Amino acid sequence: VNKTKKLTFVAVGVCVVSLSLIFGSGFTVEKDKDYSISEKYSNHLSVFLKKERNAKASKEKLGFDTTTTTNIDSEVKVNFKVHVIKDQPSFVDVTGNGVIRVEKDNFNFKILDSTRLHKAQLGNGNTLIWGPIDGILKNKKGEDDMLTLGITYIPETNQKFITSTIGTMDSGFAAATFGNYDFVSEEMTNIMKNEVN
Amino acid sequence: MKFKIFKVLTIATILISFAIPQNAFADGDPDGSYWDKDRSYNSFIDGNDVSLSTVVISAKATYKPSANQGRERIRMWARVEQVWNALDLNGGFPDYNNLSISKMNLRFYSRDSRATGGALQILANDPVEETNSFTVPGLAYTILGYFGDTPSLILGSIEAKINSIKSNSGVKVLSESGRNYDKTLVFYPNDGWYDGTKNYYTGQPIEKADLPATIPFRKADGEVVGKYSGVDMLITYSLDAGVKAFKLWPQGQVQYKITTSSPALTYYFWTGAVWLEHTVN
Repeated sequence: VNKTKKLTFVAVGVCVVSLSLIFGSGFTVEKDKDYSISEKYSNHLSVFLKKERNAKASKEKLGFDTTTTTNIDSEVKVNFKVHVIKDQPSFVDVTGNGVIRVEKDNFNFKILDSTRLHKAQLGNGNTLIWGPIDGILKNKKGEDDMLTLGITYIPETNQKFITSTIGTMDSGFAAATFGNYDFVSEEMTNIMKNEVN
Repeated sequence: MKFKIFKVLTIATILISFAIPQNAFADGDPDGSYWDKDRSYNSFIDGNDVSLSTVVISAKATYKPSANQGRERIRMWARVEQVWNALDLNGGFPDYNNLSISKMNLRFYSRDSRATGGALQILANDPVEETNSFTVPGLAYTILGYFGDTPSLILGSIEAKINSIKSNSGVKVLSESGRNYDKTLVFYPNDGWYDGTKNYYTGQPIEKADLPATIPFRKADGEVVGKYSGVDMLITYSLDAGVKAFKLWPQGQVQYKITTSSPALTYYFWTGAVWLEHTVN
C-alpha cells in the first residue's frame, strides 16, 4: 500500500512538472496581433525639418519637396505584427513591412528587428501604441535608406498620426508627415512625454 | 535498478559537459585588463564634416592565445547637445521642445575575410537579452596602453569604473543565423533630454549614455568614465587556432528623437554609423 501511495505521489508530481513546463507560468491573455494601417500625406512638418537640407534630401529620396508641398497624392501603408512580450505591459516588439507611395512610385520598406514600441491604456479603455518603427526603404534612386516612422496609434478607433524620416544625419535625411494629429489629447501627450524612453 | 539510473545519469552528464564548449574566461568575471584600441566618432552632417561628433565609440580588447579566445569591450556615447547644435535646432519654440536619445545600436562585427569562413565564433554577450526595464551593471577594470587624452599615459594603465545605466525598454539582442561573427545589442537608455540651454537628466543615480559637449571625444572612457558610462557591451569569442592579426570591426549608431511640446509628436532619426577597426592576436 505504501509503495502504491509513493508511486501515485511521484506520478502526480511528474504530471504537475510536465504541465507547468508546457504551459509556462500561466495563461497569456493578450495575443500577438496583425495590423494594417495607412494614412495620406499631410503638411504638418515641424519647422526644424523644413530646412534647405531637408528639401534637397526629400527631392532625392522621394522625388518631391516635403518642405513646401502641401498637396500631393501620397500615402504610407504599414503592415505589422505586434508581438506581445511576456509579463511586459509597457512595450511590444514589431515585425512587418510597408510602402511609402508617391503618385505612381512605390518605395517599399522592411521593418527592422530593433523596433520596440510603447504601449499604454487610456482612461477610456482604448490602447495607445507609440514610438519608432525602424526600417530599410528602397528610395527613388534605388538605394537602401534608413527609415524611421514615428507612430501615434489607437487601434480601437483607427486614429493615427505618422512622422517619417528617411536617410541618416551624416548624409542628410528627408522627412514627411502622414495623417492628422487632432486626436492627440492632453492625456496622450502626458503619457508620451512622461515616458522618457 | 536505482544504481542503473544513477549510472545513466552520470554518463549523460559527462557527455553533455563535453558537448558544451568550455569558456576560457569561465571564471565569470568580466573584469580584468584590456588593451585600449582607441576611440572614434562620426561628425558628418549632410555630407559635410561639421567638427561636432554626433556619436562616439571606444573599444578595448584582451586575448588569450593559449585558449584561442578573446574578449572585446565596446562602448558608445550619444552627443545630444552637439546634435542640437549640429542640426541648428535653436529657434524652434514652441514647435518642439526637446531632443533626447531614442535607442543605441552597438554591433560586434568583423569584415576580416576569415570571419565568413568560420574562424571567428561569438561565444557570449553581456548584457544578455532583457525584456524588462533593466539596469546594465557597472563594472571596474584596468585599461592598458591608454590611448586617450594624454600621450604620456600610453604606456601606463588606468582603472575604469563605470556607473550603471538604465535601459528602460530592456535590451534587445539581434543576430542572424549563419553569421556567428555578427551581433547587435539595442539599448533604450533612460537618459533625460536637452532643450537648447540645459540638459535634464532623469533617474538616480545619474545615468548618462550621453557625453556632454564639454568633454572632447578623446576623453571618452578613461578618467571620465565614472560619470559618463555610455552603453557598454562585452563579447567573448573564439578564433581558430593559429589565426594571427585578426581584424575586428566594432560599430554603432544612435537614434535620436525630437519631441514637440503640445501635442507631443515625435520625430526619430539616425546618426551615421561610427566604427573602429582594429586587430587582435
